[in-house]
Amino acid sequence: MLWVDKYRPKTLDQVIVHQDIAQNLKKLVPPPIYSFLLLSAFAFLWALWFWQKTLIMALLRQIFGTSAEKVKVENRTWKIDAGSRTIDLELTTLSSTNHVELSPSDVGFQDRYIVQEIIKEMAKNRLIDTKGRKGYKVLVLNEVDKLSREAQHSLRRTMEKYSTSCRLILCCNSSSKVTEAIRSRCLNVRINAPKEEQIVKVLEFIGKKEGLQLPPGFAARVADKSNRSLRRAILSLETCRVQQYPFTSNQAIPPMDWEEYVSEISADIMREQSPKRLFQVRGKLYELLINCIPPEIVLKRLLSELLKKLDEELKHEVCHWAAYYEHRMRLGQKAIFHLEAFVAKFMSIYKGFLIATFG
Amino acid sequence: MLWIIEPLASRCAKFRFKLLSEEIMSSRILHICYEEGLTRDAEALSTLSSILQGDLRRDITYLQGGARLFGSSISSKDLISVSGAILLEVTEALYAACKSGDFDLVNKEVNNVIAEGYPVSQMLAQLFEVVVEADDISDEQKACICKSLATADKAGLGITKPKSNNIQQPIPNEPTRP
Repeated sequence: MLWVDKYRPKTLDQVIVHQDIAQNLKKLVPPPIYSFLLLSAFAFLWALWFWQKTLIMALLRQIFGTSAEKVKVENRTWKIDAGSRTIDLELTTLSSTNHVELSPSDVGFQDRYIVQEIIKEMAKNRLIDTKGRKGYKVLVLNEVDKLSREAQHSLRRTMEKYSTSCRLILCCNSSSKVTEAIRSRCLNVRINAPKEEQIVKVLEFIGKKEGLQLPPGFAARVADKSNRSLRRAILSLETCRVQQYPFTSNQAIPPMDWEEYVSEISADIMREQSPKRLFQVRGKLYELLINCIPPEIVLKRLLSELLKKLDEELKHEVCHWAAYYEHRMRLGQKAIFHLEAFVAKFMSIYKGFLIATFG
Repeated sequence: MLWIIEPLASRCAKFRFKLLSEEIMSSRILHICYEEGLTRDAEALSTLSSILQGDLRRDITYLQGGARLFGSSISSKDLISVSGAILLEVTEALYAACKSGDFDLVNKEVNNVIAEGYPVSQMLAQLFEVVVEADDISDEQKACICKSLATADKAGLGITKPKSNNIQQPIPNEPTRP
């Protein structure tokens, strides 16, 4: 078992990093009538994603006891009658007896139907517990910020109408994408990325549990490399453990493969600015994309790699263009065009700068 | 109003609802606090009305959330954390970094803001207020900055999703610009 999963906190009391948030969440048990929870976390997509999930699972466990841990994954097709035609939607849900988790934004522009029909259906059915009291269901919706406007408006209506039988936990990466109407009905919980000291604390905790000898400064170095992502820090600690144990204080911490690859690309770009090189870079970018690295992440990483080597006066301009192409990338469909356009733009700026400086 | 066609509008009686004034809101809130046995300091009250800008329902939701989480006495900091607003110090720090003109400093500050998970739109709105109220920059500079803030806001909130670099856009605060 990976350490990440082994030391994943199961209950709210075991949480080390966001203790204050965990304590606050505990006060929400049992959930009051109004409680729609909006958990928002930004950036470091995968890492915080994992953390949100951890907190939510711990909260559910706190509410429903251990039954919340018995989850099953279901892939269902829903038939939805939309006026003149019927639409088939396929959606994966993760459910236990008391809660259902789903990502309505997976179905793309038809997410409205999911909210209007499926969530309504789930919210309508009330649970009755063994003592005959009326229970409630918890719906966990992922990626609310990716929902379309219409879907968010329908969600608001659903929230109000079925608030007696159903509690919602909404997860998003940025609450600025969630409409004001939904935000104002929710209790906002902001989850920040753990600070480096906190990561060090967790690493030391794991080290103690595993009976490892951590040389001084080693945990700090792992934390520093992790970009404030706890999951990644734990994973790289485990990688180091596999590579070489006992640890030496100057042991190299292996970087992620794709990051290595991006810095290779950036080195290529810096070395030569020509159509031929652009063609080679395109091949490498394709390589990254077919390995399912999200294009936004590639661009962000490429930018930060390039910024490291740039002169002060160019940084601002390059950053501006990165933002420009990033925006267009989200508007468009094919990410490779925009990545390549950014590389071309960068080459032209850099070449111009070199010519102006050295003639 | 603008989206209702003239033939329809001409057949209707029009009522205008303004945003609630601060006095009305605070008296209502005080009433609720009294009924629920809550205490909140004067600072919390003024903080809240500055975040809310005339939305009473939001105010009450936050009050309820705050009461649930932090018990019956609520400070302004608790309210800020419930409402998702950003502490003034954080905005000020970012603003100071932008003014320094040092790219790496700004980059570090922006990364920090992102890692802390503050909502971008809120950040831009608060930054806007700081810029408007600042005394040490000229009106023309303010106009330039506001324009780039608007661009960043549009990029973040349109059909696309907000992204880190959008905050980095309004940086060109070079004081020399005419």
